[in-house]
Amino acid sequence: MKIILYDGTFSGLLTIIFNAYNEKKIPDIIFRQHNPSIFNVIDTVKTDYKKATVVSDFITNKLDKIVLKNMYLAYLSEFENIEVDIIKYFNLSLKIKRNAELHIEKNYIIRLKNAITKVINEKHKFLGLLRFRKLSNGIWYAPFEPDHNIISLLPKHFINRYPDKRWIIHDIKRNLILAYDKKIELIQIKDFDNNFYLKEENLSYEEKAFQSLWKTYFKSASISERKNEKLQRQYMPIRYWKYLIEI
Amino acid sequence: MDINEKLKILSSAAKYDVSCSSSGSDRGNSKTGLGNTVTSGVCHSWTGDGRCISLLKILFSNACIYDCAYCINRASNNIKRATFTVDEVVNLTINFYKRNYIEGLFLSSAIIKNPDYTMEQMLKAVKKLRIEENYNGYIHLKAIPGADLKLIREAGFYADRLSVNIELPSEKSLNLLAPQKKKETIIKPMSFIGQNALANIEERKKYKKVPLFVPAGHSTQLIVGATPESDLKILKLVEGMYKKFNMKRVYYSAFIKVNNDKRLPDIKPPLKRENRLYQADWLLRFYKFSADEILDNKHPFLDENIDPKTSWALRNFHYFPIEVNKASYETLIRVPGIGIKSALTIIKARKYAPITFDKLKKMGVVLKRAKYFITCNGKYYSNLFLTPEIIKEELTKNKEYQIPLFPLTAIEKAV
Repeated sequence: MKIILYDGTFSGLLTIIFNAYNEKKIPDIIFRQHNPSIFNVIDTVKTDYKKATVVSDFITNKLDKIVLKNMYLAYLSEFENIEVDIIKYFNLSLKIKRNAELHIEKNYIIRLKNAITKVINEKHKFLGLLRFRKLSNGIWYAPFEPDHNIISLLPKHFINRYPDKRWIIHDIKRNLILAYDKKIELIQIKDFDNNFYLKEENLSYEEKAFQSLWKTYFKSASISERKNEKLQRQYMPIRYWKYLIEI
Repeated sequence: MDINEKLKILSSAAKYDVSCSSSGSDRGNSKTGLGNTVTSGVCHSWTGDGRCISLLKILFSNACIYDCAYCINRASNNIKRATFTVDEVVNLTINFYKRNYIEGLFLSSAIIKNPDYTMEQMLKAVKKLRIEENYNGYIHLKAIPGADLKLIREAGFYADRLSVNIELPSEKSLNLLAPQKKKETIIKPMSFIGQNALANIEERKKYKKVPLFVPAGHSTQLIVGATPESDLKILKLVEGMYKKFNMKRVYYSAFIKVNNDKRLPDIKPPLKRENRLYQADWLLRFYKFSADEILDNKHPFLDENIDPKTSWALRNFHYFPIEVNKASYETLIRVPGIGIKSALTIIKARKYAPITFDKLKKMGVVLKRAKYFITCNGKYYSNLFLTPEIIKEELTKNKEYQIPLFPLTAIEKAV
């Protein structure tokens, strides 16, 4: 049984792939950092950007860039041990010299596709569910806690939408910040007061007024004769409610 | 009256319009502008009735001069009346949009003074958004029946979608319940928008610089259950509108009795029927069915217990079972439980290896329904010979067999 621990970055995963290719052996279990201790001997893989680049260049140039995209999207799901499925998918694509995603007779392909679907769906959902608050310093701030690590998929949409504003999207669960001011940056942060935006003095003077108008709208747009809260929750699960204004 | 009160009145008055879609347009943004549109559309929230909020759906005014029997805003009702100013509409839209509450604006209105005046006010708001505020988000505008076609045409160059509500499925019903609305004043702008939209697509193929005219097309809405028309009659009408007017979508709105009026039936909102009509509409638009296939004079109403595709398949059982490893795309999509997405996957995947029941399940085919109508490599799921009657019984006795009510907007992104 080969068990591997890595830093949880995509480059780290590509490094594992590089090693696996050389050793001709696919690991059985791959843990991201900070997992509970286990008794088997664990190899810790140190991220090597050179190796990672070799793998990603190889996939883009020699295989199909869709393979790399699929690997990345599945990786973002953060599903337990999805890394092994990703490596197997890469391996099969390598073997047949093209994107292997249609080989749904393999269970790992099904799991990979399922992970990708979950990630893409959640990303789409948050294009709508993110809520920006205007801060007193003029910055537009949107906190959220997605199930999957989707923050890196958001820039294109919000840059197109708000090219002339300064804004921040904050994944509170993962301490990641996407900051935009004419150019975009993704930053890992530490020791951040996650509740600062709840204090009224940090918000722009008109913020509360528009929040309250939005609540008014939300309430009056519902048709009581058609009440169906189950359906509402199906689309908008309660775990997403925390950072919404209206509910 | 303060803005909060106005918003309450004018959004509440607009909510019965079911269309909320923000899809089908891909208006780009400029470097300093605000907003864009996304082809798939985006839902921003869901109300307690499970409907998606995509657009800020408001009436410009609810002070109506008309007196339509089914409408909460009719002139003879004693309700609070309000009218926005152009600036209020613009301000609300921009500030909601910046906070990512909405995907855009859906502006409709009661008839104030006369159709032309109403259309002018709405046009002013939309122009201000586009020109002064540099706003490139989604705009769905109601074209007011009876307004000058010149105004409607101008509006088409600022809106992503225009719609004219047909309201009721026949002229007779319209005369009975909405005597001030004339069939002609509804059909005329509908056909006008359809022609202009088509011409615009052609022109833009030749000259890129031609401004967009309703890039997300036009739609309409009709009320189901307020009048006695059959589903067959409705679907025939709808099919005609899709063909003749190049219409993008028809919305069905289960009749909700908001007024006490002798001309109106005493029924609960026919939600199930509305749901079945949406499914049938889907069959018309994406599954290459015709209205005459879905229903006929012997069966003029959709079966509430079973979805229209299964219903068709059971009536035409001699076509089945089909072999999934050989059937064409057109045949596959007619199988209950197989959708467009899984049909495409089947066609791609069977090139590599034969399809089995197990694989179909993994692809997302609803085997519970599909299994009665297919073979996989010549294998049928059962050794028994099943008749349509038995299958129907099997499918309906199972309480789990329930299709969720259609999500009115989310579904568009699938296609």
